[in-house]
Amino acid sequence: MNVHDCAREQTLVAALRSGTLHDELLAHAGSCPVCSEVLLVTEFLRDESTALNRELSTPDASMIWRKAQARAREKALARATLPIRVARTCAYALAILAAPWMIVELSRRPWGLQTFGLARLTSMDGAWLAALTGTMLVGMTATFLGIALSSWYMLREE
Amino acid sequence: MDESAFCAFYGQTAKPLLGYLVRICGQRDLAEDLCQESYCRFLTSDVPAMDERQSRSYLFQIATNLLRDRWRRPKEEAESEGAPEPASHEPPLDRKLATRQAFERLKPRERQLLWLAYVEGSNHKEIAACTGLRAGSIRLLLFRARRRLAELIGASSRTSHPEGAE
Repeated sequence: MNVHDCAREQTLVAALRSGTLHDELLAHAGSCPVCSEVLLVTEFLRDESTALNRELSTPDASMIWRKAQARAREKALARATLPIRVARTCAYALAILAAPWMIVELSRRPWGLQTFGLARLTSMDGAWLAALTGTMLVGMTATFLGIALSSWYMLREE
Repeated sequence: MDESAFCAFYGQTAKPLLGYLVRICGQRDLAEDLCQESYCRFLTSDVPAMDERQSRSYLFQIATNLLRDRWRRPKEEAESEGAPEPASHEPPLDRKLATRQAFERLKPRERQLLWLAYVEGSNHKEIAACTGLRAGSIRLLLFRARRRLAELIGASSRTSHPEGAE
């Protein structure tokens, strides 16, 4: 005989749980060391559980439901604003990285749009498209791509 | 799950879950907090639809994970929250109290295994999913825990009802 378990152990536990422990199974438990131990432990634990159920009081279900709903809303909000937070963090990082360069440039040259090569933009004379350099095009494309991706991310679950 | 379905599920599982947590962690306040947190996480989790038994098993799994997280916290933090009362080694007066103290002398993991197996009626696979242990090791661990509790119950019965005493 296996000293660790008995083939009728689960049957015994199920019978104890459902309150259908018949004489034959009880007689087996009397002769089987594993089942007698299971019987002792299960009866003790079930007494404990019954006593606890009488003692314990649980909060109202609707209160927990409302709490969970509020948390779900917070989670959804956090998920929806994630691209904004990422963009803001990137902007801060870029600003910090660009700051030394800006300080050096501004201290070397007098302030003015011409110093940044954007003089053509100020005229707005119809030939402004000529001002679109490759760098600006890349920047604009990246911006539109960012807006499109953010919109898709925010609206994908709506 | 809508609100009425949740209320029905809660009605069936709240007391068993709270009882499980109280008996495993030994602190009623902490058990109540963990119980509420378990339901909140259960409701906000993105899991596919489950039947009642699976839902119940999943709920106990969440609660067990929360308990485990609590045990992993630094010792100082746990102490500030109030440690469970250590089981007294004095002979108890009442038999029920004696057997309760016997259960409290078991390790938390042993208490978990025994409660899930013999109160909740979980099978080895469900216990493994709930506790994070390997399914193959449950049988032996359960046997050891059961043997230890049976010995402690036997010892506490002898001390509360010594031979010759009425």
